[in-house]
Amino acid sequence: MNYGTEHLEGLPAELAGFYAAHREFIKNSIATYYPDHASAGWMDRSTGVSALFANDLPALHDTLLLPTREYLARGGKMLRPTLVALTLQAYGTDPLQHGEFLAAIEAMEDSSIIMDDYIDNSERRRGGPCAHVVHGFPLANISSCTLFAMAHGVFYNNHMDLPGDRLGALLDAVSAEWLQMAFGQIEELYWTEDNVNDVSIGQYFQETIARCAFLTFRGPLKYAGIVANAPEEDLQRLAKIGEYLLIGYHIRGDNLDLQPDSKAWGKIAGEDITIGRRTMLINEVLQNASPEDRARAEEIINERTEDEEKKRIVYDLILKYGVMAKAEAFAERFNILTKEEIDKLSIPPASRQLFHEFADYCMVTRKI
Amino acid sequence: MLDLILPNFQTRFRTDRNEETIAEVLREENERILDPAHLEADVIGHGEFEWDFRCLRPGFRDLVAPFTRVTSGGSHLLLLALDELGVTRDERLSLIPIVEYPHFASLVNDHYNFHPELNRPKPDRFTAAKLTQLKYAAQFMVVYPKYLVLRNRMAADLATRNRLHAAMFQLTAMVGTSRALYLDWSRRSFAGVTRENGLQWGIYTLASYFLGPVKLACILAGVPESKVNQMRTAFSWLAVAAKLELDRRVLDGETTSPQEPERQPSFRVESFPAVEWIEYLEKSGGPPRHHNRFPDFTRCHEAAITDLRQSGKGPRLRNLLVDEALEKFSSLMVAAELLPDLTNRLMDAFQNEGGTR
Repeated sequence: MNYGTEHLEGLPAELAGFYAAHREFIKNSIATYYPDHASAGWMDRSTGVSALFANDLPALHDTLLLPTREYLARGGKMLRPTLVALTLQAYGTDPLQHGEFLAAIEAMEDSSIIMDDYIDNSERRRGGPCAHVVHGFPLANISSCTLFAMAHGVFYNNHMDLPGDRLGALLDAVSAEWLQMAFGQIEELYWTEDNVNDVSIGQYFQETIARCAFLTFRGPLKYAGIVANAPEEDLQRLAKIGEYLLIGYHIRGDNLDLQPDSKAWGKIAGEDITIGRRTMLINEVLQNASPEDRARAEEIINERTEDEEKKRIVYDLILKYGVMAKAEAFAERFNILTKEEIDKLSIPPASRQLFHEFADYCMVTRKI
Repeated sequence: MLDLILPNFQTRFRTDRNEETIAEVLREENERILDPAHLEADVIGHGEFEWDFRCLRPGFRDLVAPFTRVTSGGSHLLLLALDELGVTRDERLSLIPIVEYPHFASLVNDHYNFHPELNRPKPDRFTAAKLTQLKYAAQFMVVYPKYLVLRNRMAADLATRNRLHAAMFQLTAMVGTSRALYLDWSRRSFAGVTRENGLQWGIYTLASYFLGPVKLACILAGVPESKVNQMRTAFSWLAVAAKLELDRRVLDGETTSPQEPERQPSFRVESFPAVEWIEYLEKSGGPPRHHNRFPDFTRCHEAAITDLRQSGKGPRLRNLLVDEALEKFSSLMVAAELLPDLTNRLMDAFQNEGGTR
């Protein structure tokens, strides 16, 4: 397994040290809790239910574990478990005592990426074919949804032995995240399928939070805060930090992905146009360009084209109307908002510094 | 679906009064799920920015409507269990959407997972996008009832709420596992699958109909975890019996596919006579070992049933297994001192009514 790149380009110094210090532990935890074979014990522990008869363990591995393991093996950044470790430590809890929690967060991330890929009908991810391309849509769907759910077994089956009140807070937090995630997904698919051209910036931000914050980054921050018994007011701030971080991270990601000289051009940016996704960049063109440019962009986006020339026309319109600069300004604004909230947390200065650097990485220094 | 799974469901489990109650609860909830004020207050919260509720009508509403017309039947078991456990307060009705919404979502998921268009090397992009939109409407259906626990609509204490959260999670995992195995086995023509694997699959496959509702009832009634675990084992044996009996009824032509097209993919999976098929393959030297990533599920299903019918295998072994499973179910429930009336009803369901056993 190759998960966890050795060095993340653009990672600030202190955070790079923290990342390096925890990377191996997170990798080993993933290997332990998401193994290369499914045992009866793994199945019982993950579902919280003992089987009465022998399960077809090779089939359970091939269907539940393998697709996500294939993504894990391609080397993700492990940003989310790193953020969980950082948060646990900030509130005096040793991350090394919570390997399953850290591993579960990364498994949730990679299984949910499988969902993103078949929603977008993408071809490739992290240098390899997408799960639905390898295994077909149905298995990609069943596997990602089931493993995503089963990764939450660490919470629902109370593997961390939390007292009742903290367990309740944690399970409520997880439920709240799932509810928003599912609603956000409905919003996004409605915009795409109905070719909605008047999505406001506020609606876009709210939908992004709803659809993505369960892992990027509100969910991990809240869960870690609850596990580490952070004060109530800090839990609310951690949630807010997660939302601001997400928006800034997302906007910066959209901008990076749309650079035609980036490795991702023709994949992510092209896909957004091909599938008609209403990103902030596309929404801005659809709403603020001249009537003539708007009509041209709308025609191309509604066509669901794979034609590189046509996609380039949309990209040129994004540049023409200064949308990327506007997005950068938003990312900077959310970086400031994030740091204002971080400064209100009751955590040691060293942890505060790490949170600041995490925000900078997400919204300023990150490279594709 | 219990109307098709359980012999004499209509006469021994379904009552008009409970049917009306269930319909009323779901009618209200189906309206509530489309109400932005309710969603903001109870479900998704008041966001810092702005929700776009235009996605609800007609989009979400019309997408899921065909899949919400027929309930699972599990709510009847739920109400019978709650009655017997003495839980009569109105808040208990909050468990009905927890039983039924995931069932509706399951119908959608099976429609998606076994749709011919998606079981092709390169599905049409527009069709795939439409089906994916439907599938994610179902995802909201499956998670939506979590708000009932989150907002404590059943007026339960903290420990009970935590147990309800966990029970919902466990059922989701079991249903997902059932579909994962069915898909994998179909792709490899059931090569290498054992009888025990098939029996365990049956337990996962029927968990949401029998175990799910009764477990929720027990948790709300405050039945201790140790007894609930005994009940779970008992209901695993019941699922074995129910699955084998359903398989027999399908093979004997006593039950047929539901008329509603929205229920057919789920019924096709749930009624697949896996244990019979596995034993038949073993006796006939096993299936050819090949892997087909895109099987025609409907054709495979029908071909297996035709082969099994033509094989003329007698029902003797099946009956012995069913009898053994029912005996274990009954004795475990007696040992747990739980739900004697419901246990008797369920035992009766398999005892000769209709002259089949």
